[in-house]
Amino acid sequence: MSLKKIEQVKRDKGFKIFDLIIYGVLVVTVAVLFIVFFTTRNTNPLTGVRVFVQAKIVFEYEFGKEPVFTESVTADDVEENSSSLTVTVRTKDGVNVLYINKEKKTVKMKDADCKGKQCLYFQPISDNNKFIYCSPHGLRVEPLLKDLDNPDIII
Amino acid sequence: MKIKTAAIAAAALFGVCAFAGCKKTTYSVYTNMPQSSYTLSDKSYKLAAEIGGYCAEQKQFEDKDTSAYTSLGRYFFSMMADAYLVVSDDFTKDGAQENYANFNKAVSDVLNEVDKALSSTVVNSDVSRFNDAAAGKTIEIREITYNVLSEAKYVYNLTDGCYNPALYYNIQAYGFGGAEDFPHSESELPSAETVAQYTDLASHFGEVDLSEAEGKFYVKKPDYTVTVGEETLSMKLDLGGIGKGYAVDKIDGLFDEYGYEFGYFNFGSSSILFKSNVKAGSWNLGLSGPRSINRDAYLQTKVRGEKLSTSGDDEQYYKIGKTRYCHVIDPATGKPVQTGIMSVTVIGGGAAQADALTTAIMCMGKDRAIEFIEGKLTDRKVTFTCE
Repeated sequence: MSLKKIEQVKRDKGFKIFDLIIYGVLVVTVAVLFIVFFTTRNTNPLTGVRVFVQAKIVFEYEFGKEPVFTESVTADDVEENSSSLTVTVRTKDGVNVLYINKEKKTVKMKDADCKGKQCLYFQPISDNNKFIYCSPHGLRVEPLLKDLDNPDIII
Repeated sequence: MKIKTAAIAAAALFGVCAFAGCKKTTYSVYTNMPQSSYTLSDKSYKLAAEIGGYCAEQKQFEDKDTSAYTSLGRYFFSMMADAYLVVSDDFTKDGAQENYANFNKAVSDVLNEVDKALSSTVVNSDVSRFNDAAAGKTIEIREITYNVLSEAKYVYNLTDGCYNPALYYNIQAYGFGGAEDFPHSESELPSAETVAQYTDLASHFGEVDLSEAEGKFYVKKPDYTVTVGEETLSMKLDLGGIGKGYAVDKIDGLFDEYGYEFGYFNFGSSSILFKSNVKAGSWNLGLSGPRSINRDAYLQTKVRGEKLSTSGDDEQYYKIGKTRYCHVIDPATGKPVQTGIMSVTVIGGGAAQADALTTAIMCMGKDRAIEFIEGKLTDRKVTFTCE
């Protein structure tokens, strides 16, 4: 390597800071986009669930409040502790067991006595866009939507 | 130096992107709603013209004590689209839960019946049997199918063929209506000759013959066929552009039958029934801007006791080069609509007709659409947006 080239490389050292600035800008841009995405997306946190059997309400629970029982699901059908509720729903076609995690605010099906147990493969309900459905028992678990009366609708 | 050049290039690219992001496109809005009944809420949309002719009478509603009312919502699933039903009532009164359960079952039955009758993807549905039948053959159909085809023929004639449910092959060729994949390049698009043949076949929709005898319903498939390649094709139907509206009409009747005055039924956001709102009486409806990313409303109006249908080119589409291909096929060209109309909303009247009318208006183009609305849709509220 010629002396001239060595001198040039030495002079070019100063551009390393410029490299760092570009890398820094890229990192900050990615971080900002990441933060914006997670803070502005519509997550609709779950406020509670309503359980239907053949479209009839059999149980309702809103996080932080007392469960609402009916003739079909009584207090005897619910095991409650500080972090969860386990709800047994008996329909004329069979039994489903629902697990409500109070801390994570999620709801999932824990057990069912039907053959396929399809409802166990539903993802836990963690926001207002999910539901669980047990076709053999006609049981449906839906988010407790609090704003159905809101007259503002955008289509 | 290379790094310097890269930095300058990156900055320039960033600047160009920022400029492109800031550049706003303005769209035109046409409506026949009286100015007092709506507001434009997005500055990207400018009122281009108020179309004359709207003279529908507004229904009068009595105030009712709804203090004990609560609202229940639930999803329904159909082959055509997802649906959402909201009903407000005093569910603590005797028999209310039973009534609600029966109502839900009735709604579910309507949606199942509509699927069994009208879906072209359901095996042995009336439409599938029609599509599989030989040219000239008569088949027995359900009353639902008879009614929907009657509505389809009415709108086909009213719009001089701008609504045509016989464009099945065109829809499939352009990758819509349950087709396996979109074309990804111009070479994958159907040839002009093929499109012309499909369009020619569809233009014989007027020859679909409906009849009724001894309480049974029949449809006769036109004799006309075309040959594409080595295949002889007879007419096939896609009633997706009218079926959802028909279901909404039926469910409107169920609301009345089961005594519900409050709530709404949204079928795929393209056909919606608005009963009264339990809090405010009317619903504050916002029509979201077509092609807008944030889905903010460009127009706001109040609706109550009305049905709405809407079509747009922003839900199902793809782009090849700069050309946009959407799911609405123009019967005049046999290709995805390129008239410049981006979205159409029709409020009032039957939802089945409105469903078909929105598709037709998209295909008309601005001037013809204005003339049509002023001349023939004087009892409905119509709004459309243009590029």
